Amino acid sequence: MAMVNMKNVIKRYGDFTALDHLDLTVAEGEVLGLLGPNGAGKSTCIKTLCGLIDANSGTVEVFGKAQSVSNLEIRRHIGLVTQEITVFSDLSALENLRYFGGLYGLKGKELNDNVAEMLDFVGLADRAKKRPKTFSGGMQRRLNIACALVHKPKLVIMDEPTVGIDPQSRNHILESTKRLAESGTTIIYTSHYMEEVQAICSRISIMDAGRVIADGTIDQLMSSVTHEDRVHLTAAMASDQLTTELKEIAGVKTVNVNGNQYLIVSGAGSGNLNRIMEIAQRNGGIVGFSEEKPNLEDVFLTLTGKKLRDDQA
Amino acid sequence: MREFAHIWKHYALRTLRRPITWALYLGLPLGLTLVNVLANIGLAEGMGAEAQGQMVGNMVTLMILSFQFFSSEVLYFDLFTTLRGEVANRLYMSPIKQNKFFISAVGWSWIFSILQATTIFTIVYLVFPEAYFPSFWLLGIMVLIVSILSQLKGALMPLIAKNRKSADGISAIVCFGMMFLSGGLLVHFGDSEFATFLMTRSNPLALAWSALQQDTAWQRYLSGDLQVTIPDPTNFITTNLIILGIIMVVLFAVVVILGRRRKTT
Repeated sequence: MAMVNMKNVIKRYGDFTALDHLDLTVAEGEVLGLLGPNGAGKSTCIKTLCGLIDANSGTVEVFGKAQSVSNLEIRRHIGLVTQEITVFSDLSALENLRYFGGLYGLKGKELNDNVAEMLDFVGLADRAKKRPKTFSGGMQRRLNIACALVHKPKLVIMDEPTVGIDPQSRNHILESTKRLAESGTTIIYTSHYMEEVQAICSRISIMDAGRVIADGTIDQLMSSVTHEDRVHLTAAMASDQLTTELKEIAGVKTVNVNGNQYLIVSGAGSGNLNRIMEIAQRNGGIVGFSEEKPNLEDVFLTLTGKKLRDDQA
Repeated sequence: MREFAHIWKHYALRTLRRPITWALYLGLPLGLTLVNVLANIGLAEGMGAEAQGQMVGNMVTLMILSFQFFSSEVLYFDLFTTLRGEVANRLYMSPIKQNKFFISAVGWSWIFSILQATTIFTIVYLVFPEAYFPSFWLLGIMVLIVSILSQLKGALMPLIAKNRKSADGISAIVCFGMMFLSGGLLVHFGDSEFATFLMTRSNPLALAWSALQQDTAWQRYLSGDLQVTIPDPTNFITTNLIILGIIMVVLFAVVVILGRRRKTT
């Protein structure tokens, strides 16, 4: 059964179309990476899935049932890890978990057990009675996640859960997410960090301008986009002869030289690596070389024309 | 009901744990009331104990009523923060109707304002037992009405103000404006009919305070402390209560209409 089924969904805010005939499905137990530049419609997509807003038209189904603002029952089984930290600083970690658990109808032993389990899951059991304002950013994010999971939802939406935190906390969160996925929970994960998405997600959907423009596994997406072949060469001895011969190789577009560092750019699939090595050996020898492979960033840039992260723009 | 109790409990916990709650909404009103009373006692020296007592009673009544209008700002913390943005998304994600969070915030703020009034009144009553106060039942009704009006004002703010700062500004203008027009800031507008209207019926604070002042004088008269005859203020008090009731209904309707319009846009 598809946990999430969005078909031809349109959502407008006045003249602006945030979701433009969006199609998105997520199978049970899948970890879907939902990527897109700022303004692609990811937040609107998430809000529609969560029942926080209604679409103008199209089908939005969660767990096989129509999702809408008025359908409160579906929300019992959805957990949203918000991008901002949305725990209460005036309540301790334990109280926060009890509060959010209580909102989902948990009480008594079930609430106590779930709260204890979540504190262990995110590694905050020893800080249960402390308030979030005494936590580091990473710990606050972990509590943020725990509050979204305390009611053991079947579908979890994680909206950039690791933004702005230290590497140790990020690793902890990624490991927790993997364990969550292994337990069979369906996860929709949005992030601007390619390495996170590659580490966790079984499938990726790329959104832009309110619709999904690419969908598939990482390998499928990377093979669907053609790139230039790039070879970085460190020559033992730079020379004009070497530069000239490299430029004359069939398929080579440009040769950039910086001291004894050479960047040789060829058309995709040129297969010039052996020829480049042969020429470099003949002209003084090679100190080192590497071949640049396309990555998810390249896929994203090719498809959307934008960087995955604004700070790289 | 269980949901309300759960949400309410945590509103109370969070509000009471904030030091600013105690300082701004209890410490400051109590302190200002006591200082004001002592200053008025000093000004009224030589007027006689009964006149002083009535002055103290009137001043305390005005302060309690005025602080009711400010007390709804406890509500702003929730209406402008936890019930907006991503925090609100997290709360509204739960299988609980959105309006229950709003009602809980308003309800808790109302209870807090009643507690504030009761605490201030009790302490002043113990410190100044010679003060003349209106009938407790009328004082209780007026505090209830004014605190409801205050919560409605508080609920209206997010619907008309862009942010909390604007809301605080508008609220301050409204509250101090009402105190000024009621003659509560030691400004006397004269004895004309218009001046009398300003100080007795121009705004909710004036309506409530003037009714209570009349009742205080009437209680003094009935107990034989007044040397002059004064008319029975029952009609005046009843009229003011009716006007206050109408204002409450109108304000409630405005909040509901604007709230529904905000929800659909």
